[in-house]
Amino acid sequence: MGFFSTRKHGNDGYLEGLLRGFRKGILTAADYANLRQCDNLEDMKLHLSQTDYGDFLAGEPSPLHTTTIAEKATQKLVNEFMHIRNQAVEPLATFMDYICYGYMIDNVVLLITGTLHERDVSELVDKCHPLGMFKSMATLSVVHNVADLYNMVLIDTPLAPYVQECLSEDDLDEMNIEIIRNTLYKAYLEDFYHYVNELGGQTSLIMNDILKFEADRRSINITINSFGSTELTKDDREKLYPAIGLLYPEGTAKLSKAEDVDTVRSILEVYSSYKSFFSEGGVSAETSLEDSFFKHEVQLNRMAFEDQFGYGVFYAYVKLREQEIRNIVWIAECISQNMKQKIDQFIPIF
Amino acid sequence: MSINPNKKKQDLERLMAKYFDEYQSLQLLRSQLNEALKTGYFLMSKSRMSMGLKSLGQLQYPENMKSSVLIKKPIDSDCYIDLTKDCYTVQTKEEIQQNHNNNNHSQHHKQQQQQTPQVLQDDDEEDNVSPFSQYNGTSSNTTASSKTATTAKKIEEDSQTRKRATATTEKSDNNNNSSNGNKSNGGMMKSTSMNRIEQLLDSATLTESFTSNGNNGRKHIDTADHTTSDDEYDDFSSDDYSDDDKDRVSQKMVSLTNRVKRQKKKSLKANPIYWFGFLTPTTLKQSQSQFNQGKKKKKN
Repeated sequence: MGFFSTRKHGNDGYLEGLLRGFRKGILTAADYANLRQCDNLEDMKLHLSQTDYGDFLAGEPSPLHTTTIAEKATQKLVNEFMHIRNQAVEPLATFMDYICYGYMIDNVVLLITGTLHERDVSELVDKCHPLGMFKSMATLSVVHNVADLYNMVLIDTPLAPYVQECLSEDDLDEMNIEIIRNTLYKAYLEDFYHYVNELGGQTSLIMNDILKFEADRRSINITINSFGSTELTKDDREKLYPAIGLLYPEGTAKLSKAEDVDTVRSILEVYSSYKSFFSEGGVSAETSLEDSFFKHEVQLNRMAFEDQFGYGVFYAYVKLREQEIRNIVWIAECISQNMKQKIDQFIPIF
Repeated sequence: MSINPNKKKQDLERLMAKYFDEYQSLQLLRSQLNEALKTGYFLMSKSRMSMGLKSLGQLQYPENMKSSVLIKKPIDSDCYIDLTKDCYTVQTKEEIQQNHNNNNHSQHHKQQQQQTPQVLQDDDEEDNVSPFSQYNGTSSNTTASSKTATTAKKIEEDSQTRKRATATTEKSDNNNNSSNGNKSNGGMMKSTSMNRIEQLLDSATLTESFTSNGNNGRKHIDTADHTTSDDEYDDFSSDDYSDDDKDRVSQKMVSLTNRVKRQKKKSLKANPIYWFGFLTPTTLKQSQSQFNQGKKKKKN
């Protein structure tokens, strides 16, 4: 342990120190209290300039929009992430690459959907998440079916192994895209899970909890969101559930047969971690279910900062900052839509 | 022949009472419509939180679609509690087009320019086919509402688009800057009356009935085909047919399956919520139902 920690400090100590410095920049309860008092987005800009965000909105033409705030805040996160990534050595470098794969999947889906709707590729590439960029992205515009997608674009990307489960000759349509998105993400989560377990130590301890929860969240969301949609059969639905997580395999098998929210609730009642998610929600359970998921995610990621000698903090920091951006966007939306009574529904981080 | 003055008085009173009743129901419906639209927009924002900002925006529908309705956010927050005003300004396609033409002729009318929706700026060269006709839209008003809302609120993702969409953006933020009191715009907002919405809904009803007729017609054909194939299937299973016959029947079955698949795809495209994926969160479905409710309120 001593040798490992010494070696780890030598390789990653500086970066971890840097990251814990970035963590101090996460908005506090006092910052949120100030933001909630704002009457318009310009006020928000003023308050945010007093935080670690600084002048990130400087030069933005008035009127401000929530999307602009989200984009600029994301850019700040990306800058910090890339700063660390560029100095990272193995195995942290690969670990951080794994974090990016999730965004790559989102970008692939965004590009395929946009192409299907005859959008301009350059416009689409501009909108892609900066963390999920890869070289052959622009080629996606010529893709018409899943096999082409693999052979012409994804084969040279780290996502190639993930595609094999959803390869088909079918033309790309909305249904296919949804299946590709979920199958890729399932394969990605399982691969990431195996990788962190190879790393072992504190990394696997922290990341196992986070990834298992992520997998369960996806399974539950897929189940609930597919209610009312007759196009996705129960068998197809089951194929989209990740093969990791607390729910796997008994819970997911039951979920695949579920037909309404009440059944999902009864399935989750035996899992102590998820039992409270529905009971908190009351009647409009599914509305607040998302919030419960986000809250639990924040809690798990926050726990990663209580630990040392692991890479979990790097993942946790990205996720916490993403939640912070969601919080800022939520407050901005509530202000701009004159719905201040709902402004408290954001999820504070530290 | 003289008219009984008492009867005349009674008639007048009855008419007056009827007027007040109608006015009251109008107020009620107006408040319900405003509430439905407001909740709809809000739930859409919530959906963006869970789906991701880029997963619910203008990239998910074709660029060449034209908006048939423009719904603008209120610039005066007081109208949320003032039931005599419409919170949301609704413009039909013709009005939008007219505004756009006016803007081309008089560039210096800045406020009018601000009301020109971005979506229509590229559409001058295109034909006059309804933007949703290609999707066989069964709920054109809702489609339009949600689409326009998406357009109005999500356009700003791209800087280039943002420039073109100044109109909508500025509108939305005028809400925040209500203290500035843009009275001239307020006047224009007031001028929008409920009958615009009613006209719009009437046209939506027509489109709907037309589409549903179309669907019925198609269903009828399908049923006929299906009956035939069922008969053939029964025959195929019961009697001892030759291999050729079996092949022929199986080919027919395949083509029927393909046709059903195509029909299914068409019906899927008809519902705009599927543009944003099949596994959309509940909040987005609720948002759509809010817009649907708004439409029903106006029909009443």
